[in-house]
Amino acid sequence: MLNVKDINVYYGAIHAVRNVSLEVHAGEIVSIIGANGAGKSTILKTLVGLLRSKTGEICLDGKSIADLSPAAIVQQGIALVPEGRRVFPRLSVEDNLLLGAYARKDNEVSRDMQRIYEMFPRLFERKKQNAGTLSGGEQQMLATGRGMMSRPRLLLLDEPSMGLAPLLVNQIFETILDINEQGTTILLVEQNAHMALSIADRGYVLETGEVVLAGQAEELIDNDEVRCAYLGE
Amino acid sequence: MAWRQWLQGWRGAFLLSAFVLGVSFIDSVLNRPEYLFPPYFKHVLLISLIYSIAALSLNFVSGYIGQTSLGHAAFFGLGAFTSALLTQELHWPFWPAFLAAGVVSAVVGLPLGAPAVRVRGPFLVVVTYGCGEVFKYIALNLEVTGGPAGLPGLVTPSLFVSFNDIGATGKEAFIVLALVLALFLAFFSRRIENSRVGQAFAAIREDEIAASAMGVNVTYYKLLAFVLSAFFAGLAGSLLAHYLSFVSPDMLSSAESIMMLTMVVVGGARSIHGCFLGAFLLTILPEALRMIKDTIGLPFDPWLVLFGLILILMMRVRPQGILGADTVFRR
Repeated sequence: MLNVKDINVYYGAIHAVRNVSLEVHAGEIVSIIGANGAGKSTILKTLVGLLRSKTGEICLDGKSIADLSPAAIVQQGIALVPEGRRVFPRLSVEDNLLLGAYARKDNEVSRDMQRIYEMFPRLFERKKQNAGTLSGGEQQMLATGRGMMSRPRLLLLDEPSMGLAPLLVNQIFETILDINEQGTTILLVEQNAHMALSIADRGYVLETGEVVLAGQAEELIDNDEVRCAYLGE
Repeated sequence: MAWRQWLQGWRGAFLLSAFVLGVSFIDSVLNRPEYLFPPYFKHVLLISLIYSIAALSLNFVSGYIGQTSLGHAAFFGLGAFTSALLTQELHWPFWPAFLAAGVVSAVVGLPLGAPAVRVRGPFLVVVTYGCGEVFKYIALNLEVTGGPAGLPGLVTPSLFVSFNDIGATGKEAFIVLALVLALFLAFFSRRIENSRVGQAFAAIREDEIAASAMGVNVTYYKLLAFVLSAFFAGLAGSLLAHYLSFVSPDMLSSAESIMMLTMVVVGGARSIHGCFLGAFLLTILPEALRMIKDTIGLPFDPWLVLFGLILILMMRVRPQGILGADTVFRR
């Protein structure tokens, strides 16, 4: 579904992503794990067009999307749930969800909104409330729901467990599995390597901008280097 | 606040129009030797309305997309000079020149909006301030704009009859025109708020990165806000110039820009009622204080001191502006 070949991304003089290639097949959950500053978020931002790669290719279903605007990429079926949630703080929960459907032009938005509310009843209870007043977990639900509102075929999740209590982390990861089972392919970026690998089909390990290891998720969990560096064993 | 809800929509517009039209025409109807509302009073009313238009136009940039602009007077003055030059040098009638003032401002607003696509916050303040100053010095130094003296003797607008011949004081037609424009802009703003465009503006204001991740074309909507803002500011500037029948580079000064931004902020950014309130308050207060000063014989004008105090007090007590939206959450 998604094919990324040899991308290089820079912040000014800083070389943040080096020759990264990765693949995501339809229906999969793929996790990218790595330490702070390894370039995980940079990859996701490049995929949705917020940053540009100097080289290489990004193809969705065989068509290059590397030169498309973020708006066009959303319409192609990729949605990003950004790091730190980035909900619109002074807009209501409902307006946040509506903005998630901004790139859509059909008239089934309200039906999808119902579905999001069924998935996250807490959001329904607070639909008129400003998003900035929600708790961290609720904001993560909102950000995820907002991402789903564009009806993505591929959902990019950037650190969904960031700053959440362990119980909420479990809940969020269960939702991710749910979303995947309903047919959305998922590319997940996480520092919480154990969680990310336990729900994933495959994984990539990123170190200072380079892919150092790739493989089936179970293999990565059992890999000694990964255990030592990211799982703290 | 319940009364604010009560004033929403047609009701607020109706009350404002009734007040303005009542004040404007009661003397014409009564036809007595003594004015009930003297020309000076109507002058202040008209200036308030013109600044309401200016504040509403700035609200697109500083309210809806939340970008602080300190160069708004540049568009205001540009509109004034455009219609002044078109009527004087090319002998255009007022109405096409009036429209052209808006169009020229909007066309110039497009490249000036471009820096706003890249910079924000304090940096944008400096950029817009700089642009405003550039326009002022261009007007000060060009021969065609009359240099520091400006351009006197502009034509008076007319609609079958000259505006000067309508009503008891000759200001009434200007007031009606300003009122119509202000109300139109108010309803236009309300329509924008509830549209897809308004949705995009709100997203950009709240979080630009998230907005573009949602597929909102941030560049396009930012430029759109600047162009709309410049267009209506140009119209307001042209109206003021032809009312005073005079335009000078002072109309482009940064003091004007600051005053317009203050009107939006004190009234309540993003509040249409707030823009009216801010404009009326900050136009009427200095006039009222001058009268007080004259009657009790104060040796100085207390306005600037009070102006500073109002600003400090506002930021302390009600940073969202008098009619700004109450939010529990504040960044």
